Amino acid sequence: MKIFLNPFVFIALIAVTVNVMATPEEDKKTFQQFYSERFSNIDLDEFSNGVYALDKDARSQWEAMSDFPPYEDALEEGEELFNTPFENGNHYASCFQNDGQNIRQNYPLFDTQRNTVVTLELAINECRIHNNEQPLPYKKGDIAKISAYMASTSEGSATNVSIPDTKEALSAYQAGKQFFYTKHGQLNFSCANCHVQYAGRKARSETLSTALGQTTHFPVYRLKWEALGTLHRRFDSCLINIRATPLEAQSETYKNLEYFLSYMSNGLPINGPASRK
Amino acid sequence: MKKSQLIRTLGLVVFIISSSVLAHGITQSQVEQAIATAEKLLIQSAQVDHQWSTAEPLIKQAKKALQLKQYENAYSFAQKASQQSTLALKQADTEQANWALNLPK
Ligand code: HEC
Repeated sequence: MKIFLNPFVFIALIAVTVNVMATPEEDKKTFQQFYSERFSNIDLDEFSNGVYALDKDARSQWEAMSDFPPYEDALEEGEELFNTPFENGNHYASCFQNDGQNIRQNYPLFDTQRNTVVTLELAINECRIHNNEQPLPYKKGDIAKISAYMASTSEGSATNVSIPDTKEALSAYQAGKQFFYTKHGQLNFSCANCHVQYAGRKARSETLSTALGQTTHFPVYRLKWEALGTLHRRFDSCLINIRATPLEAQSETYKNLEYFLSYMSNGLPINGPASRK
Repeated sequence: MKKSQLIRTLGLVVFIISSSVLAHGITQSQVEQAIATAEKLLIQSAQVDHQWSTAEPLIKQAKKALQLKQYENAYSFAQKASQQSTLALKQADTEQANWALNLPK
């Protein structure tokens, strides 16, 4: 017990405890402040551009590409899919508020009836099931296209994820937060190690993006994938890189992680879909 | 017993033990046991969302070697797989206490 008598250890423990117990709103403030202090020359909204907010050389290549973005066709297909009626005559629009227009910024949301996080992709599939259609695979393909189209209707709207004041919603948020800061895989890295502590530095040839703004532009067309992929697919890539086994798309853990990450980006503009390396 | 006698006796004992191990080596059932253990640990690590991607390929290699009746090889792969998942479980455990150290300050 002697260690607790050491005033420095004591203060450090209190500091950690305070952060562990902080409310989501306090977390968000600390989180956003951390980046705006580290990158004081970058506007908060700019973080929605991920690595291109930090890496000037990469940015000019990226901007050159944005005249003919590689996801253009997929985005058009997404719109078509979204507007094509199901066999029963209903549309996706019937499942969503505001006919599914300009709502991306509210996702993921917490369903207090079922006590679970509902991501946009989950809501898309639940809409299909509700209308007697087969669910789509979660990581790529049609679901990413539909999600991309829906994101595009929210262009510029501020991320607005809310956490109802219930024990269950808070614990979903907490679980996502804990996963984000927990080291995983044989390489023993946490998401935060790369995207908080090392953000802006290089990992191999790539600049590491800030975790702030990571959710605003999904789904993403990755040149490596040669297609659109969902956020959960991107989680997989990062886990694989640290020699951890990826989790199921739409697993509780991934949903909670998305919930936490999106909440941290509250206020930042939606700008999906986007292209990345 | 003279010193030289002692050495000779000891040498004989060592020879007998080692040759019996070499002759019988690792048995099929020992390999099966080792693979079962590795699989159990793999599942345990997955249950706490800490599975390492290094473990499963080792189990696959162990099973392949078992099929080829290369029991020593198979056993060693299975043990390595178990080691990886044991470390993964340990990581889950330590992180339960330490994750908050990564919080931005
Ligand atoms: C070893 C370092 C490392 C770790 C650990 C890591 N990532 Fe990444 N991550 C990268 C790199 C490199 C990229 C590609 C460059 C970039 O956009 O940051 C990336 C990209 C991403 C992107 C896409 C960003 C964009 O703008 O499209 C997301 C989202 C992401 N990571 C989330 C995570 C999450 C969640 C975790 C924890 C499960 C994690 N990362 C762990 C290195 C890492």
